Amino acid sequence: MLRCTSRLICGMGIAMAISVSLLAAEPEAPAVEGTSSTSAPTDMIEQLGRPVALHVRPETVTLAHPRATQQIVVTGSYADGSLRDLTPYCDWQPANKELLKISSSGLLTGLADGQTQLVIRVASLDTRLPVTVQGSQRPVPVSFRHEVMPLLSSAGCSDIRCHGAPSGKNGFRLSLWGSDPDLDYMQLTREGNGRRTNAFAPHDSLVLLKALTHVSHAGGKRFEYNSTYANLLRDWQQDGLRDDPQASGVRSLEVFPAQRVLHAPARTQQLAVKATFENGQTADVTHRTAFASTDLAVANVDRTGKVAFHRQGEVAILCRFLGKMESVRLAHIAAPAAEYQWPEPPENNYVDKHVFAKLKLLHLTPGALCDDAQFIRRVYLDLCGILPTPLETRDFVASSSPEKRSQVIDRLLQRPEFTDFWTKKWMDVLRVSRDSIQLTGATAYQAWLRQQIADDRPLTEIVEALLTSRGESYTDPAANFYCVAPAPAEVTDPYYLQKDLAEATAQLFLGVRLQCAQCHNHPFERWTQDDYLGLAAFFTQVQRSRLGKAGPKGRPDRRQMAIAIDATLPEITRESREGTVPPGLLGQGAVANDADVDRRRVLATWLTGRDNPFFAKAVVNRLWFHLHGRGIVEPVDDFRDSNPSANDPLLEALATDFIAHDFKLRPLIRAIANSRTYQLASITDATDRNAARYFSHMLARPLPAEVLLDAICEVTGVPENFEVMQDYLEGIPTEAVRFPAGTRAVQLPVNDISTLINSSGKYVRYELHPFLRTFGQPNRTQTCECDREQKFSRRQALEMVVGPMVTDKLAHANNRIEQLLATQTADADMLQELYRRALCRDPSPATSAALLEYVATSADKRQAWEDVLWTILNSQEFIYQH
Amino acid sequence: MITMLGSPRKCCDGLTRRETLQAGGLAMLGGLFGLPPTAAAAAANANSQRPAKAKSVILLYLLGGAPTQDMFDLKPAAPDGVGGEFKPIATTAPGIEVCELLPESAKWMHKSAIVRTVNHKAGCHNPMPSLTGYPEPLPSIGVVQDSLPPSMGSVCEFLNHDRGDFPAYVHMPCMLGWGQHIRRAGPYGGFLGRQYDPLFTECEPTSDKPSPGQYHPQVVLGTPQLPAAKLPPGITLDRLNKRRRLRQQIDDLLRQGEDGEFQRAQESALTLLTSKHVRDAFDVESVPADIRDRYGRTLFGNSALIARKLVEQGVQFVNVTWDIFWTRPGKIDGAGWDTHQRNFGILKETLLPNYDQTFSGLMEDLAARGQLEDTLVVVMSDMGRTPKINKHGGRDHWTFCYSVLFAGAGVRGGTVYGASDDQAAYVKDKPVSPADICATIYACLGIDPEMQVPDSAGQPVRISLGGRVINEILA
Repeated sequence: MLRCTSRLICGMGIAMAISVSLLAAEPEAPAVEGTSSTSAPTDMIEQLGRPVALHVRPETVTLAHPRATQQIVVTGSYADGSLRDLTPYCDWQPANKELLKISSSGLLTGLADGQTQLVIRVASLDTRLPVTVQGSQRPVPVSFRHEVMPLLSSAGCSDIRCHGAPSGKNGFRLSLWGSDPDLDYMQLTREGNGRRTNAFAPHDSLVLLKALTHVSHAGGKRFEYNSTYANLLRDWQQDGLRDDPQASGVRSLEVFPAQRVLHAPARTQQLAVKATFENGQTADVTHRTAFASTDLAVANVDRTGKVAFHRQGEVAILCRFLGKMESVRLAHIAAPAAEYQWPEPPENNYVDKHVFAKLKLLHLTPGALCDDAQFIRRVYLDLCGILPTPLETRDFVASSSPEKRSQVIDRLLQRPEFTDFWTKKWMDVLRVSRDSIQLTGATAYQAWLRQQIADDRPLTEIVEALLTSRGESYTDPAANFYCVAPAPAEVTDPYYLQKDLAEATAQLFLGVRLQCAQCHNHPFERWTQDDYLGLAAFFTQVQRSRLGKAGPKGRPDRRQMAIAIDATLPEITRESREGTVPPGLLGQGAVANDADVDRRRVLATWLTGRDNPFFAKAVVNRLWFHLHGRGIVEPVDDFRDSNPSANDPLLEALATDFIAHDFKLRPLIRAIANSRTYQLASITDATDRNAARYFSHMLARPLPAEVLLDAICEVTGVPENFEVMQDYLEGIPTEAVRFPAGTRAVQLPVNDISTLINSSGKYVRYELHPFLRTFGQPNRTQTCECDREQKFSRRQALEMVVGPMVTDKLAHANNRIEQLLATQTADADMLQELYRRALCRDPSPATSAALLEYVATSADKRQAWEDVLWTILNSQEFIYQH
Repeated sequence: MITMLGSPRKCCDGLTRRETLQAGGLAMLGGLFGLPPTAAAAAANANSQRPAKAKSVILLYLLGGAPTQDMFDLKPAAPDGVGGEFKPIATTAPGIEVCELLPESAKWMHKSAIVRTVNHKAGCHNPMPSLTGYPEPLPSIGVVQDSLPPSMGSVCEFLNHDRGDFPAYVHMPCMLGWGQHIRRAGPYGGFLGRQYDPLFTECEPTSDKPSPGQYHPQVVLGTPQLPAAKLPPGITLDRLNKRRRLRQQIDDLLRQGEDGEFQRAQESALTLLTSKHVRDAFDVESVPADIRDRYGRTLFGNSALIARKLVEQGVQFVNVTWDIFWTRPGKIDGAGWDTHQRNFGILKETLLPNYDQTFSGLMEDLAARGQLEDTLVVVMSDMGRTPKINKHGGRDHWTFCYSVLFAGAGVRGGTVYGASDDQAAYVKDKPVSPADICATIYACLGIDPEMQVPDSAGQPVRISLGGRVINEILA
């Protein structure tokens, strides 16, 4: 066994290293070999039950090419309305066996010209399929583009781990997934001293010898001698190694079935792929398609296009043929349909309609509605990052208004804390840090962003302002969008800024991670290097400069920056090809390039247009993520075909609503928070998280670091005093900027608030607040929500159990305990007050009795209350959002 | 050999780590590329025949770049200005010589193997290659990025699913770089997650007298302690136990069984604070004086002693770093192993005698207690030092050729792997990458170096990052 060691390190933030062993002897797919009929496994047929009717796809077949094939898919419809794939269990009998042969999996091949019928029998039903075979004896040379190229993909040769790696394998390099037929043709026919192919003795060609492992091949045996694959490769060589660059490209792929839910006992589904070519012709290309499952833990798919589920769940099957990709959604439900009953919960709005439809489809049961106490805590924390006061909780719970939940939501949306909290969420991914733009820049940026959100300005306008900004970072706050991109100590890539901005823009506003396309075409996706560089080209006119006198050498340069547009700056060039890269929009290609126009405006106009296919979905998914702890697409900024969303119609509907409300945050957040889905009971048990993926429950999760700190301050009655050292350029800062008393962690303009100075005064570094860092506050160096790690493990537990933050606040001379004791509050009232502050509810009678007894029997009453409050603060119910 | 052993911890998508590794990690790879899951699984399980030789590893990490040509790869015939001032001496392994200042270590050479050709191009003072195998330069060695590959110890912690009172991965004496106010990259969980970061101990380094200058380091004294080992003022062990009991009284609506992520974390934290076993392991005062003296009563010696005790308790990966303390009170040690000036003076006065004492003390104690049978000891550095001696009598940074020493369980004693050229400047024969060293350590521990774990983008990555096991030095 030989090792492939290609390593791709993609971009900032995502270090993707692939180094994979390939192994030998993948069994050849049985389908293509087959004989005319096979005995159906009768026990499976019995299990599947008796269908009411059979549906055969396609309804007629014409095989008009000597090597044409047709995948037949036979579906049974059942009395309960379900559909099951019966293809593997059919008995296939051509009326004229001279004309046809068919494999056990239903792949039809013509033998001689004529018309006949295929008799299909299964589960005591039968049906007939008319078949016409034409031109079966016509000599048609093997097409390099239409037959050999797909073969190289579906046999795995042009895989990223094999010869499709950027540097190839063992000197033999193919384009990834056959994206570049010209290159592949040269590689096969000219490179490697021409030994790879041999028109005179194809059996001696290296491609065949290697693929059949007649000589040692690190990638193992790819197919069998005399298989369709081997025969095609042989015949193509024998036919003279011809390329056919004029071959028609593919216009579209159609996969059957586009979507299906398989109820147990059904757990397999045969797919059929039909290609429509540019010239209008169509063909069944099932056996030439490369299939892949997005979640092999749930289902896999073999080379013939047969999907088999291992367990309950949903997958997308990606189907690639000649550079086109189409995906289909399949789900499997393990429990028998009869045992499932939809509880018919009421729907509050369109969110519920789509979420419930999906839950029903997958036979999942939504949780109950959460109670009022849980709701008010949840919605305060999610919308404003604060706990409700005991008074607010009491009034809310006591209210009998049927509209009280939506009224609370409306009130919260208008509170300044809402603006603080959602400003902060954007600042986290906009990379606002002292290290990049100093406290002065960050404060200005924060104030500007805050104003936009306070005014509920459409997000399209905010994004447009950011993208087209210019000026100085301290006085033109939006320009900080460009200032935060880090400059490397030593510039090795002249386009580092443009690439950074392209990646940031794609990830933040399009929900697309382009990082991988920096070095190569994305291994799983549609984005190419041209897309990546095209987007970067929108930023080539951006000129960044530092203002003022430089500080001492050897220190990070933190001077103010200015952003200007300079149309004379050089265009991006490519290493591999001649010429410059014109600006291009994702999925649309190059755009007209007018030297007088600020290109960024073209980008911004496209990005924020009502018909932009990415923007609205990317934003609503992010908002949903903040309210549910999980995106509809997850990770939240990673939209791609191989990462299917949990609910496409929901995403569509939210995006439509967002656009209808002029891209404003509040209406959309209002819609989500008012849905019953948002108000469902929570779960912490991880085994149910598969269901939580589809939002059957609210997922309990640790509070964000800042919110937790603010909550501790609120409950203990001891605010945190935040101090930041002044900005400086020379020497070391001497004075601190003290934020006003009562400033919450959520309101801080920067996360790196601690200043570390070593004793020689040579290094000054900024660090996160220790408590906030422990609880996963991001250091804002990435445009990724993943930079925040909301986990609760030993480290966080230690911080809560004995950390200085909690300890000091519990022991503080004038904390809430002291205040309550000073006013001679009765023990029971005091416990109630602490419970209501921290958990928004009253203690259970048993707990109340136990805790009060603990206090009563303790020698030191103040200490005993500290212990009680410690216990409340160290409960999961306090530390988690739920 | 552990190949796919995951813990039953759950990931965010509801799969257990074990499932993620088997299905999500590996099979996903197969899935994306159309390989059947059996093939992907087999790929991962390939090469998995080696049984575990060592239960634990103690890594003696000489921060700053130890001049290994003055320790394990002496070149007495090299020209002046290169070869150095020290003479080689014979060891218990025929034909293998070490520095004359390492007489006690020389007595363990029959249990040790020296790899003389380690090299990388990841830049100076970059601990990533040595601790993780990652071969690329970092934008800054003082920035800990969560997207970087995990350290070996973090992988152990990731795979650790049945722990008692102890974590699987402990790093002593302090957070790497703490002594200079830098958070150095390297010993972290990286893309596996911060929950696999090591348990960092804390220390208060002292010395007998202040250091007269950066290149006149003092012997650093002190004892590593558990974080929060000193309970906060007003919180006694008794009170903490009271609180712990009170916790059971409260009606936490989210409480699940003892296996919930929250309960496990909290229980583990409280155990660390209250466990007698853990406290005992960190209690060096109760160790007989002669044994303490054998290790040396330095910060490094005490750390190694505690490491031995932790390993006895089943901790799998203990990093004992010889850190640099220059910006902490007292300015004790401004050089560590980063000997830009007075290389030979520093080696002779402090570094080598203390290293020799601690290494041999650790080996002796492990052997005497029967722990050498299942404990691997590795001595390594973030890099090496220049063959050329500079005008200050120092050696500067050099990553192109340096030595790493393996000893104890799983090691074929008395072996040398690879050869440097006649100035110990470049590799002459059999180059070895830091990833190869990591792979070899994993192999000793019975962890398949080819095992794949999901990175932050969910892509499968081999834990050894392509490193190859050096079978020649393994028993």
